[in-house]
Amino acid sequence: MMSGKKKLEVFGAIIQGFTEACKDLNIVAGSRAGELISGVEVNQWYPFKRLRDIEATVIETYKNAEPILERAGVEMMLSWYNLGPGKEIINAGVDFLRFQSGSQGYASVVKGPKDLVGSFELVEIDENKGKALIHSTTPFNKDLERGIVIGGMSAPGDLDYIDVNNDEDEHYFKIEFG
Amino acid sequence: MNLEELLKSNRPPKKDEITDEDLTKLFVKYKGLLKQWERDKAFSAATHENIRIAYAKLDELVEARTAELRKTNEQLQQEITERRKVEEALRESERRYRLLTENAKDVIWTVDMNMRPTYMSPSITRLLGYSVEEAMVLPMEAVYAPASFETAMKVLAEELAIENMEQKDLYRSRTLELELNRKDGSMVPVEVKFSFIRGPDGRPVEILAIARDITERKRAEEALRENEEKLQRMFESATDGIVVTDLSGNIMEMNEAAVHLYGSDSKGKLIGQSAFEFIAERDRVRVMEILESAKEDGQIRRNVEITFLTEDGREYFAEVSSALLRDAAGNSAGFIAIFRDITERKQVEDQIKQTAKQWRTTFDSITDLVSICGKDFRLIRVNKAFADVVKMKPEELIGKPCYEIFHGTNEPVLSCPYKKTIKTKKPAMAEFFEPHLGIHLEVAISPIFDEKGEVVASVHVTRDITERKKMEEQLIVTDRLAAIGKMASGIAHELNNPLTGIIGFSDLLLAKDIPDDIAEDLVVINREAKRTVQIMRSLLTFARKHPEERQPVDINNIIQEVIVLRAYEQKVNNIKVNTQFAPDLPEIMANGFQLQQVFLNIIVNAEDFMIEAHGRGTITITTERLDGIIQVSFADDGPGIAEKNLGHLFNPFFTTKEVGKGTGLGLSISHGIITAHGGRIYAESELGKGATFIVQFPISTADSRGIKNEES
Repeated sequence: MMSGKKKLEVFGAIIQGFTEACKDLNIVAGSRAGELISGVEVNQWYPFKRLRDIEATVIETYKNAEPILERAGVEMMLSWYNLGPGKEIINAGVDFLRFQSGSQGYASVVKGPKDLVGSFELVEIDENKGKALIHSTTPFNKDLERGIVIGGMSAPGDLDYIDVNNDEDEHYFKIEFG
Repeated sequence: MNLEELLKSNRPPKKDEITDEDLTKLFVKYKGLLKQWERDKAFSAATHENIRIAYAKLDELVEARTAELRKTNEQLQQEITERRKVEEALRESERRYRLLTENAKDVIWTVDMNMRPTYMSPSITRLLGYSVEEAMVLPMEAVYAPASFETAMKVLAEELAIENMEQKDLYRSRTLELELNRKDGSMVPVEVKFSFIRGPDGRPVEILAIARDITERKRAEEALRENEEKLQRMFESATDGIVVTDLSGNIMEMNEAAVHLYGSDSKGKLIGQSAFEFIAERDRVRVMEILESAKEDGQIRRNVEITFLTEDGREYFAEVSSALLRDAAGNSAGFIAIFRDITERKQVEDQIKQTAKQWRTTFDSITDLVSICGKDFRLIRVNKAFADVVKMKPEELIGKPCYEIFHGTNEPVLSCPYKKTIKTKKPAMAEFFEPHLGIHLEVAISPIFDEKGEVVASVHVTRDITERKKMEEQLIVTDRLAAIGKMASGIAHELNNPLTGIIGFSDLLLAKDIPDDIAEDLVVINREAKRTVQIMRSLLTFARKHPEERQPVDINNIIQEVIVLRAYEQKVNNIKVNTQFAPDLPEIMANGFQLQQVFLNIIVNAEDFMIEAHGRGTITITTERLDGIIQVSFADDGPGIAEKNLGHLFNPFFTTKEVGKGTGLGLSISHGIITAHGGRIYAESELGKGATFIVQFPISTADSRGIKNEES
């Protein structure tokens, strides 16, 4: 029987991308990674909990998981760009930021109750100054999300410098690039 | 050259080759790289820290796991060891069971529940003649004899029915005696023990059968049965009475002979009665004691003589052997007694005992020395005379060697006649003087043979012939004296004529006128010649053969005549004779010539010893009348007689004279003569103080003279 309340779901490609990244980075051992994505289809929706479980696995494994999750996010987006549909969507690093306008990018991979889905939205951008601000209320881990931003911007390879900082408020990513 | 090309040229840029824009680009690029380096560094630090922690954890885990593994390994090793032990034990057990099974004399087989063989032990070949392979494919119908197969199937059905019950013994078995078919067509009786082999759920999956060849047992049972029958027949047909009682003596079983001996005609009437009722009252306590002691020691009592009573009270003697009976548990259960009427035998035995007693009496009353001697020369039996002679009791002599008793030697003497008898198997006789006993013996030996004709013993009849020998010696002396007398008579006759001439012519010369000195000599010649004639006359009188008759004689006259005979010898040897004759001696009935011989012997002996001792001597001859006797004593002053010789003086051939001077018979003959006259002769002496020979004669009355002397 279906519940009347919709659950938070994530697109299978995100789960697989995150897991593959972990696998490539040897963050999670191969067999364990296999278990994490077992039965996951890239074009299917899955409870968000599956992604959370992977995150939890990494956090439980590492004493200092922040750089790990960040690197996993970077790696995840490099795969998305090089092996997935990224090249078709963006041509430059800044494109990735613009892709987030109105949370259109985020909305393509997470669905569910609005209060749970949250948003990932480009608040401002100044290409000349090489600065941007993203406001995130997503259920994603913020370290992972920071990596996603870095990865998404660096994947096209046109930017020499990218810095994403949410030290002051984890929901606000201050981005510098050039 | 733009910045990209400049960077690829791998050389430092020249001053004018770098623009501000390039520198800005480089700065951004550098800042980007630096940021990237920081991110990489953070990632690397996080992963390395994690690796370090992971290694630490891993170490802990490895250590813990190693410890766990070590422990597990130890447990595993222990388990492996245990398992190996169990496996070894199992293998050993299996090997043992297999050995047992394979080598068991019993045949072990298993069949499934469809009666198909699943195992046969090799002993099947010995039992049935089939090889194991042959037996394994045989249907059970072929193995069992038809009736046995039917029985086995019936029992199997019963057992399967029990299996359906709630309460059942899972370890029960059934033992059957069956017959199996051998390959050669014969049948063998077996005892088979069947039991189920059960699966894990307890349900029977196979049937185990252990079969044992009971041919020998069957034979033994048959033999036992036959034996029992035989014993029963013997029991019933025995001529001796056989009675079985309980421990109290109540009759439980008896044979016909016992019924007959009890004087009854009804066995049924006797069963249950006390056997003591058929024992004379005086013997009952004794019998009870015998049975009580048998109960204690379990020993058989044989040939006990008991007085029995018949049903009508008649007594008879019975010889009884009894034994304690035990039940299967070994407890005393009763008695069995075998008895027979020995009344007649007792009578015969009494007769035999009586006869034996008579024989013994007769044996002992024989004056000859009778003995029975074994082949080993040991005495088996001796009579009283024998024992008396050797001064021992008959029982002391039994078992002693005859040569030790008779001859005092350690082995048979050279002339032993028994040795001759053993050698020749013929009777033998011998005479010998036994110094050991001081008597002459004559022994007659008769051999006793066994059934093979071998000498096993002999009867010795030994007779004391000392007296006879004395008589023989006396006869010899008498013969010699008779010869001497005859010769002396001839000499006397020859001398008489010249002596007559001497006396006559000396008388004629004395009648003539002759000188005085010559006349004196002639007187001496004449007187000595006349004395010679007188001596000759006495000699003739002594030597003449005299009749054995006795006449009244004067002892003094006889002594005087002997003195005359010895006068010359005594004179020339300085022997003086004193006579103290009682004047009123009565005459006695005697043979004067024999008494003359006795007195002459005593006087001559005294002369010889006195002359030898000191060349002279005095003999005092006294006659006197004492209480009812006439006593003549001849006392000399010679050397005397040693005390040890006094007892042997009158033994034949006993002499202390030099060899050739005495025969040792004189005093022995004298003793015989005096004893024959009812008198007594003995000697008294002390060494160095002379000797006195005393001769005593009983005085005969006028009325009884002849009679008394004859008797003595």
